[in-house]
Formats: sequence, structure tokens, C-alpha cells
Amino acid sequence: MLNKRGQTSEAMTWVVATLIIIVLLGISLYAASLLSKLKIIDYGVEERTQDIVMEESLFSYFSVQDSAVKDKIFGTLEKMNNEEKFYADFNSKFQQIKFNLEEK
Amino acid sequence: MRIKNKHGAEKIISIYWFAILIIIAGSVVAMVSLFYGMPYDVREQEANIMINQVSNCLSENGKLNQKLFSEDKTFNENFNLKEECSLIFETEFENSIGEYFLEADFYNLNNGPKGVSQRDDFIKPSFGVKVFELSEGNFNLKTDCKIAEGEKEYKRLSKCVDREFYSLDSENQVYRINILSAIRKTEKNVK
Repeated sequence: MLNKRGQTSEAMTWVVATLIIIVLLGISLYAASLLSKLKIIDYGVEERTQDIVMEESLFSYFSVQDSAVKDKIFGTLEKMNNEEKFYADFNSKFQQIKFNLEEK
Repeated sequence: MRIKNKHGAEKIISIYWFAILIIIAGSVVAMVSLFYGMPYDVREQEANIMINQVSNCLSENGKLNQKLFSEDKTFNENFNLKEECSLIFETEFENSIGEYFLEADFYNLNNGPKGVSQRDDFIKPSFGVKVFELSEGNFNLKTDCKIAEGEKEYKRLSKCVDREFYSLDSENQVYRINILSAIRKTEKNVK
């Protein structure tokens, strides 16, 4: 009788252990599928040292002779910077290009 | 009798361990394939790289490429964007109708609409008069750009990136150049 009870409790231990293993594996599988959906590379998140498109605008800004047009271009570029449309730091690039052109 | 019973129990336990081992190994394989089977969507990066390439080819140091203009100083209608900017639109997909679309619109800022406060008008995205446009690739992809992005059902549409910059011609006329880049390639980037 005692031996039978012992056998039953031993079997129950295995059943519970199996269930725990299966639940843990299920959670891991679910986590893996969730993580796979997070594989997104956002171009704008990482700040770059270069933004060719912005630099083109800055070069043309410094080349314009008409101060009214110059102001307008700067206003638009500043607005674009506030809207975070540039991938590199606008102010430092502005200073860098200005310095390089003055050097010339 | 007792020894026989013990042997039987050991057999059952070893079968159980074998089954558990298979389940765990199968799950690990499933987890790895789930994670690594999902592709990275790099179309936005690709579109940005394409825009960089085109902006670099259309304008250099704030001056428009001279090949954009014909001898009479008007825009050159025969300018081949694909050739001049060294773009390759061919993909590995056979019978592909075109996975890429590129468009560059040129707006002259010096000939803007009169009677409107210039500063306000300049800041508006619609500023300037469209004087020229270049396009290359599958034009049908442009419609995808007009449909809202972000929702799951729209993931299979083309990814579009739209950027603008300023440049000058040889007569110091200011142009706003708007570049739209659209990439489909859903088979490789979306599951």
C-alpha cells in the first residue's frame, strides 16, 4: 500500500516537472517571437557624423549672395532641424562648414 | 521479480528523458529559427542611401550638376538619372516589375508666386515653382507612399523616404530639390 502511494507521488513529481518544462519552453518561444518582431532598424535613431543632404543645403546657403534668400534658407533649415529631419547635428555641421569655408 | 520491475521503471524513465530532450532541442531550434528567420527591414536605410547617392550626384558642394542643364541654360530633358548617378535597379527576382522608384523634383525659389509674404511662403513645403522633374523606376510604387504606414497590414507596401535640399545653378538661382525614394522588396524584408 505504502509502496503504491510512493509510486503515485513520484509519478506526480515527474508530471509536474514535465508541465513546468513545457510552460517554460512555451514562454521562451513566445518571447523569441516577440523579440523577432522588434528587429527594426530605425535610420533616424542613431546620430550620424554626416548627412549629405543637409550638407548640400548648407553649402548652397553659404554660396548664396542675397542676404534675404540666405535668411529664408536658414529659416527653412532651422525648421527642418526642429522637426528632426536631419540625421546629423545641424548646429555643429553649420559651424564646421562655416569654419572650413572661411579658412579657404 | 523486483529486479525486473526496476529494469522496467528505468526503461520508462529513459524514454521520458529522451522525450524531454527532444522537446527541449525542438524548442531551441524553433526559438532560433523564429528569431533569425524574421528578416531585418532595411528598406528605409536603402532608400536613404539612394537619396544620398542621388543628392550627391545632382549637386556638389551646393552647386547643381552642370549636366542637368543644356547649352541654352534650360534643364536637360535627356538627363539620365540612372546612368549619371550610377544606380542599379536590377534585383535577383526574375520577372520583377521593378522594386525601386526614384523621383527628383526641382523647384525654383527665385520665381516663386508673387504677392505672398516671401518668408512665410519659403517656409511652406510647397514653396517655389516646379520647373523640372526626373524619375526612374517603377512609377506604381509612388501610390504606396500615399497610403499611411505603420499598421501591420501596410508592412507589405513599399517603404518611402522623402527628403529635400537646396542647391544653386551657375547663375546663383536657388532651387529646392525634393527627392522621393520608394523601395518594394517585400519578399526580402517582410515576413
